[in-house]
Amino acid sequence: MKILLVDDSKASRMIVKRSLRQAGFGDHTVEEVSTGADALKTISDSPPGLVLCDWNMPEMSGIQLLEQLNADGHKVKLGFVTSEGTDDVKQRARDAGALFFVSKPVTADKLESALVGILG
Amino acid sequence: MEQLPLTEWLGALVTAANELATGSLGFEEGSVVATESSLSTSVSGSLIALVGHQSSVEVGLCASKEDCAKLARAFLGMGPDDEEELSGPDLDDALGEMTNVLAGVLKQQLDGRVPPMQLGLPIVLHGLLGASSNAEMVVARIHWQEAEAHFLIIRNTMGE
Repeated sequence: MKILLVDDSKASRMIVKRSLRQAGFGDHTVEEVSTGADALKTISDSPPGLVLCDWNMPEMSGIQLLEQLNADGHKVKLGFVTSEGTDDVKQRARDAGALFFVSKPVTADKLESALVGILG
Repeated sequence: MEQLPLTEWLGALVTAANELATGSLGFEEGSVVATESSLSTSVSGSLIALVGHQSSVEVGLCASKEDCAKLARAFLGMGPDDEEELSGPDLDDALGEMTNVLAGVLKQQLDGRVPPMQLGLPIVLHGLLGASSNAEMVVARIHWQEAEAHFLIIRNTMGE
């Protein structure tokens, strides 16, 4: 399965990729982009099986990306990997259709718990 | 909801910093070696805003350039024997992301004790850092075996 990472921080993308490998998901293909706009284009051109998305990003936030995907009729599986972790933010994510919510700092254990039912 | 004293903000920040250090950097828990109301030395680091309807604070992580590099390399999982150099932009990005994670942990720790606040985006700084005349600052210097860093809270006092 192709996994799309959307995060404006290269460091964060590196850590998520490493944690995916450590969680046993290293056989999946990981593609990465740094903006919501690039994510929209990538998802339109070649839909991934799963999107792991940051919440706070310049220009287009993660929740704005998910709301735009919903408005455009994309049925992509998406979860958030973010420093935001309060109940109101999680509720907003769930309301928009996010499948899961992983709070940073990211660890292999957190990703495994969130993704095992999706990636197997 | 009454405004949380800055000392309590700082205490929560120290807890968050040690959580980040032990959980993400692989450090043993560090100790606070000083608390101050200003920074007198030139530092590198990152600041991020926590913005609420009635008040906002800035959360910062600063250190010497050498210690910033040590923190960033640990954050990225680069071992001491790893010869790869971190470029300036990559170092700045790692510092910003560390501050982002730190502020997120702090925000979760204080959930329910402070009004709802939104995380901003990190900015990177190099040089002397001071609070303006309309702001107050508290700083904790934490020492780990591997590095030492300043963790700070700046709160705007205009309108108080």
